[in-house]
Amino acid sequence: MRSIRSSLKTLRAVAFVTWKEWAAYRSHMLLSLVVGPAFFLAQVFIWHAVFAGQETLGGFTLEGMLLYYGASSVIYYLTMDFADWNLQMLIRSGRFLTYILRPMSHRFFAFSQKVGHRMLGFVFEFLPVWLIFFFVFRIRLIPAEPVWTLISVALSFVILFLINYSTGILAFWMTRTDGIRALIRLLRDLLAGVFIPLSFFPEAVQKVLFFLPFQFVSYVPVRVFLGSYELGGVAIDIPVIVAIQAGMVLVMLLVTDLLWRLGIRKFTGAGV
Amino acid sequence: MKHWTWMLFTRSLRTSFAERAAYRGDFILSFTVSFLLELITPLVTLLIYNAGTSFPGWTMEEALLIQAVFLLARGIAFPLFFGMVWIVFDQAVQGTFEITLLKPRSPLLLTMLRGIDIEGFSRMLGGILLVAFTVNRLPAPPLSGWLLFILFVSLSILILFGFALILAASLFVWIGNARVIELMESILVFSRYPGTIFAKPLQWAFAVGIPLSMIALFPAEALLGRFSIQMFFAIPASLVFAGAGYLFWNRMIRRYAGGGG
Repeated sequence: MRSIRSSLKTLRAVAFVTWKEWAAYRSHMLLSLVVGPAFFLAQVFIWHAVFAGQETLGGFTLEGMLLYYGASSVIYYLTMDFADWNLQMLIRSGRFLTYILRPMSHRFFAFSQKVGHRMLGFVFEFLPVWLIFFFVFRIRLIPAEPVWTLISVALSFVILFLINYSTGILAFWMTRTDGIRALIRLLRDLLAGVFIPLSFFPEAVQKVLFFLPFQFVSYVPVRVFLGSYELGGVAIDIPVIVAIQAGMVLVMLLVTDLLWRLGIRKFTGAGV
Repeated sequence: MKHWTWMLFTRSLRTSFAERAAYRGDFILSFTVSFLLELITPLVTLLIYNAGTSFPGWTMEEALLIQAVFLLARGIAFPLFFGMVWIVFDQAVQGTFEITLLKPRSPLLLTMLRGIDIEGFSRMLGGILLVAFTVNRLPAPPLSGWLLFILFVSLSILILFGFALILAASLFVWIGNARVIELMESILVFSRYPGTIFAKPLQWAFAVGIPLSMIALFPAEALLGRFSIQMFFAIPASLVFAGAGYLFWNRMIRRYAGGGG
């Protein structure tokens, strides 16, 4: 109990410092007020055009499709992170040495930083963009299952962090990780349903996605937000898919742990 | 082009290649991923058409041609011009742009040459392949179509150069804002799709305001033998846009205060 309380205290302290650090760049975050709605506007035109004369596409109505992209945009502001870039930069420059000398796990430190960074994102990105969607596009981004959505977004927050952190760990083996990080990011966003709902993919591909962590980053929380989940012809109840998502968090924790144990042996502190 | 400009250009290309060749595995992977990343939009188009629907008035090959032309123009413009955005970003943050200003050559040329990104040329390769693939599946364009296509693609590259100038120049005062590229991507997304999906006023805005339609739509339409009055208004608009980018660069470079470091 005492260790949990101490961890929470550390998390709060690191998150607060990160908040203060990034608050200096809040004007950069405010760019999201243009970027998010501009991408969404493009989706509005695209889907209005392709839905002409069609009732449903890929299991979505036009309204459902716009809700999908709207929810996907705002959930991204809650879960986004760059733990992979951060970790590889620390390892490559040798600055990582200072972190392994600290009496706390770097993974937990990086996670706490993400919490602080995204709290700032909640204020400067999520809320304003949500309001723009509501008042300008008339998209009512109200979750069908608020409690389950909250849990699912929280789990997606953790899964995205763990995927990115695992990618960052690869820097223990490779001097330059730009290529591998870009490849994983591409696969992650494509197979998470960021570009197009996964129900548009061939059915065989959809089935494979059950065994990968990517759909739990965006597709699952968005479908939970919409109130129904279906992939590869399989409809799953919301509590069940959220439980599977929680299982994926455990799997990713193990993967990160394993990669960490293997990778840390390779660290030489070169570049310090 | 003066002799020394050409020499600087070839040396920059060689240096960029040598720098990336030091990490060959990562270079090959980055080269491939840059290409794959650009195939996302064509993939989405493919999935939309496979779902049994279409962009009104456009077959799948015609819609893919727009995206292929976009990839081609971007594949030429990004490796040549957009590296300078990151050069200005870094040098403005560190307060080292003075070194470029002190050199006895145009700061714009030097920044551009330092920013040449060799791995970005994979996009150009992808663009050429995709244009060849789609054109092969469409009725052969006449010679006049090809000539107009070349003119429009040149203008398209000029517009993207204008974007690069505006982004790089904004970083002289908006120090350390790595997200300006995102801002541009959110604008460029409108240039990858058939014009018919947009409302009429927006179609005009994309022809004469910010000439986004000249980036891919009009060159593709030239090959398809489709002509519109907007196309011809977009020609001077493209030149004005690139000129405005150049003026903006010149104005902003004077405001560089060297406050980083």
